[in-house]
Amino acid sequence: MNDFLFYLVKKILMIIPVLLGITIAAFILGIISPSDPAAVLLNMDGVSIPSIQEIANKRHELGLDRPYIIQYLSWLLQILHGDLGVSYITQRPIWDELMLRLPVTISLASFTLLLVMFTAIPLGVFMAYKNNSKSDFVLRTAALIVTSIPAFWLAILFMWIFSEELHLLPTSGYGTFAQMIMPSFALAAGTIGTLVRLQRATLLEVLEQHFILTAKAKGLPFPMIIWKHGLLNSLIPVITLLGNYFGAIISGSAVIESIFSLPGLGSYVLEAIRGRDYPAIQGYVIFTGLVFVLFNLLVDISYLLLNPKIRLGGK
Amino acid sequence: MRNYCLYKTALRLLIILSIIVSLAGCSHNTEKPIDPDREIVLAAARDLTPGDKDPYYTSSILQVWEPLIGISEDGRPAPKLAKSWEYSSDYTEWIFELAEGIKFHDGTPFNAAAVVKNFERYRNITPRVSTFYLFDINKIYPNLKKVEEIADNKVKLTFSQPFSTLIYSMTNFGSAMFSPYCFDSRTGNFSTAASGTGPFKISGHVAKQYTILERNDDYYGDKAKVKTIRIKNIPNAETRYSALKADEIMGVLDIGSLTPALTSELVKDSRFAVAIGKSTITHYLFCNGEKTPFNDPRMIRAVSLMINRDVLVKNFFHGYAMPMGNFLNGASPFSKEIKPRRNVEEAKELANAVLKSQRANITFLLPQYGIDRYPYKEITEFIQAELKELGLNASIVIMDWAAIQDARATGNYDIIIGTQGLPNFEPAILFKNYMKRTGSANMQYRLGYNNDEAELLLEQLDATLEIADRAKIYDRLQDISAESPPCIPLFADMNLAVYSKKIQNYEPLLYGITLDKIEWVK
Repeated sequence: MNDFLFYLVKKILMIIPVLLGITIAAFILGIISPSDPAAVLLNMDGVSIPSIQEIANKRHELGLDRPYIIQYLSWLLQILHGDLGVSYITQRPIWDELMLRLPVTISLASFTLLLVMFTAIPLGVFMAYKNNSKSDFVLRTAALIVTSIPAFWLAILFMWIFSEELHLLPTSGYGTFAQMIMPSFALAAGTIGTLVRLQRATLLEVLEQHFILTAKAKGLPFPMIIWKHGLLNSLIPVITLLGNYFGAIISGSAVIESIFSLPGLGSYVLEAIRGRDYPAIQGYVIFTGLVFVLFNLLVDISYLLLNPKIRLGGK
Repeated sequence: MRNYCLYKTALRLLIILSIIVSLAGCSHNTEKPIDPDREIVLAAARDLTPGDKDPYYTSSILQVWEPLIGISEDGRPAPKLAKSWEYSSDYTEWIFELAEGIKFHDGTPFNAAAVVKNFERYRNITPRVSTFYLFDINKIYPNLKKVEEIADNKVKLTFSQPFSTLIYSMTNFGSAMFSPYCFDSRTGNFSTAASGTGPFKISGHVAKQYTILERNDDYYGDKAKVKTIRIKNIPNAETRYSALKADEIMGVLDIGSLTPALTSELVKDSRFAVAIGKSTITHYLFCNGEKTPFNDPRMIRAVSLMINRDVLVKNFFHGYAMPMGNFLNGASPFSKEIKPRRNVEEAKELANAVLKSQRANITFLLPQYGIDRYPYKEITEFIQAELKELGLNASIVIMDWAAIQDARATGNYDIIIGTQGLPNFEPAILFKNYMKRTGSANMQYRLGYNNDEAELLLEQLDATLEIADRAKIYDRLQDISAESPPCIPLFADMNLAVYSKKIQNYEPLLYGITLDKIEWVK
């Protein structure tokens, strides 16, 4: 138990410098990016041509004329108070903007993750079970093909077949189950391909271990060996990939969100980048950085549960 | 055994295919008689209802609010909520007579007191950015001293300096009227959904997803034909195209509704049609006049003479644009027709005189939005080939618009292709920005424009009050800009109203479409 707590506290403490690093990176990103947010903002309508004085006034209003270190520290202080600032474009609190879009992205990520898990893991196990058979070869080839197809191309293909031609699924929008099907499949396909191959390879590796040989020698049926002894031991790399993958979808599946008009975090940050909405970009970087760190922590905790070696501190 | 397995697999596939086909068939064959009150769904690339912090809450094209001064069918300022106006001989006092018996959607009467409250809000929000038009009372109503209610239906605007073209400046977004109870006049933010006087009310809005418009049954004019319209936000042009093909939406609206290529492809399908109208957007080439070779006006003229605008419009815009030789967009009431000139020999002579038989390497910047919304990549490559004949080796660099603004401000460019819209119907601001030595665009975009006659005319403009006299100055400025352009006009955009033939009366306006007239085909 002590080892477990020590491991957990160590992991949590390591988050602090990571988050501080993220804030510095996010702030520097705003400084080194070309263009002046004040000028971009005043020309947002594509019609107005602000004068130099108007741009200077706007810079002052946004606090961009202060020294960088002062800007950073006041921003950091603001973040520590739980305030991510106000968007230059929408003039709304960034936290509110992120919370408005988070449910969309979480729905998409959850659908996709479930799809990946319930397709890739059983298929990978099946392929390991049928190692080097005809069906293994066919599935391996299929996995390679879906891994190679870009998600955006698949999205366009799905839209053409299921919306334009068959009128079965809606092209875009958010709010119904039907609207999540095509984006989830488009987003999941590549990862299913990768995960199927990974699951198959790790399971085959585990099946070479001595304890499996012992189980076989005991006369246990092969499906039971896979289910009870093989699968659990082969899940660590799979879970690592899934954890990072979930974080990656949360932090932005911008292309898919844009194609299927899903107002999620990815499309939000794209808009913010175009409009040089630095508070929004910085808020997004911090938020998604936090999500990544938390998911990594969860993955680490799952290692503890899955692998006694880690739980026992390598003893 | 092997044959049996194959047979079984083939049978399974056949069953799956039959299910898919029959489902698809079902979806096609369930045509029912159309209920005239059934919701019509349209789509736009952006959320047309930015909400409480926006100066207008929602775009004028959704016809929720109305301005004091609107736009007539021939593109001139026209009475809307202000039914008439009169002004003092020195143009410092304007009295607007308001239309009577009109109520805002929340039941508040539209009267002089409401107008005064709206002007208070204008002062408090200035300047307020928007994706539609930046709102700055000092630019729309320069030198405005006071706004008074002089009768229940009369408002007086007093200026410290004469302002003869006020009604040109206050068209549409310049004089949007809202119920005083839907905004906080101190902050200018909306406290409820915008309550205007238009033929539609907002009955629902989900940010970045859709706006639901409901017919205003108490509208004073011709009521909208359809009960509810849903405007979906579909940012991707290809998705809007697919949504039209899938019958999910009945039409598209707003800027960049559908690219010319997609429009051309869609109308090949007999289920769809396109109606074309004028747009206030012009496509230009902006040259860096502070750097060789464009610091010599002859080089700018050479490029203008060299470009084959007809080919650009026909081949890349599929005919959905208008070649332009005039700096001022044709939607302006002061615009005159100036046909673009093409003379390859003269262009080469001019370029040769500047380059002295040498070749020059130049940077040609292409904004990303131009690739998303227009066929800018193909156009730029075509122009690149034409420039080569003039002795200019252009390297095309694609950047996002914000980065291009930075390059423009620092002078790290030679040519940029881009757009400029009309700020309002008073063209003085555009001429001053581009043709005056101290003009914002001239200085910030480093155009290096310096024309003595234009300078003189722009100074005269400040002292010229009569519209007819100002029109003469505008005429001359347009001629000057054609001979010696501050930037090279290529073509004017067109407002493409692409729609399904299941609906009718879908016509483009200068801003938007005839939303109140559309209805299901009976």
